[in-house]
Amino acid sequence: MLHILTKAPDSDAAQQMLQAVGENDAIILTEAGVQAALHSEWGGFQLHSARIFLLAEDVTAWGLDDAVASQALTAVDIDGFIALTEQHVQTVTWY
Amino acid sequence: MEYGLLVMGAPYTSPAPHSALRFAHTLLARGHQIGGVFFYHEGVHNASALMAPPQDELNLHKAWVELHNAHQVPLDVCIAAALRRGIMSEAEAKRHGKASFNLEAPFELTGLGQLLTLQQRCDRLITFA
Amino acid sequence: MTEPNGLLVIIRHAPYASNLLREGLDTALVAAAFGQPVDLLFLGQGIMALLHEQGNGAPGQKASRPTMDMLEMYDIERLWTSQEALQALELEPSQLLGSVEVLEAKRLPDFLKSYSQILNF
Repeated sequence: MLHILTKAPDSDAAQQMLQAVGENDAIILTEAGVQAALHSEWGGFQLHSARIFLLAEDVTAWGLDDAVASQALTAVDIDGFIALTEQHVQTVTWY
Repeated sequence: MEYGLLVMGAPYTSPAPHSALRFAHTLLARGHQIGGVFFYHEGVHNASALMAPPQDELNLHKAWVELHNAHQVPLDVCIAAALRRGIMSEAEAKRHGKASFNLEAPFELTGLGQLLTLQQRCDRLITFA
Repeated sequence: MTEPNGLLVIIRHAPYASNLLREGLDTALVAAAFGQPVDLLFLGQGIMALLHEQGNGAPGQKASRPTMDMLEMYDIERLWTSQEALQALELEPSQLLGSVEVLEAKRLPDFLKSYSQILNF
């Protein structure tokens, strides 16, 4: 399952998503979700850092390229986002 | 693959419509099909032909119409969510005794069943909200 | 694990706070009317829709409690929430509508995967 988070990491949506994420799931942070790059302590990174992606276009728009690079987070562009939706049959958006 | 898109964010209120349009164009560029875009909740405002943003902002209504014209993507709008928010076609305006209307083809008013059909028919349903 | 089946509608917004609850419930009712098996999962603020003592809002504001009572007529019989979500609101199962089933949050990932379709409101 692919989870899309469009809200900041301290939102209800983010907390609810983290409870719903399973072992083989992936997460893509888009829109305000990319602010997680500023919070290395965010629960998502503790649980699933290997399968968390940030939408590169939104990271750049929000001015967070340096934060993503310095924390070695994985950014994917919109093509990469679509590739993730190709790989996962089910997609749930948390907003 | 065939994708369905569900848009629940309002134009100029939520980034969801912009995100959905970017996703839609990239999908088509990658060779996928879009079985339909369903507008629900605040997303129904995308269908308003009366929106008139300043020249330096994208007219989202126009952007959806262009997507339809270029790729025949159906643009379905939940009728219950639309009517309660004042989004209506000429036929609905007549039925409700309203002096004007703001929804025209290629946008179509339809029931929620259309969303469920889209979800069942398409390989993927992606929500923008 | 059995084959995923049916539609899960997730409700995360409270009555009288936005129209997402109403429009989420409407989706569940239409799906059920189409003969699709539907369950509901209430998380976070959505749990407020499950309180059995719900009154009316501002004059003319449509209450959601009557819609909640209609679910059973449409054969939507399984309403779920999580123990942790209840605790976060300091609510007890006894304060909820009778038919609500409570699962542990750690079961949520597998619970979601048991449905072939999910809509999140």
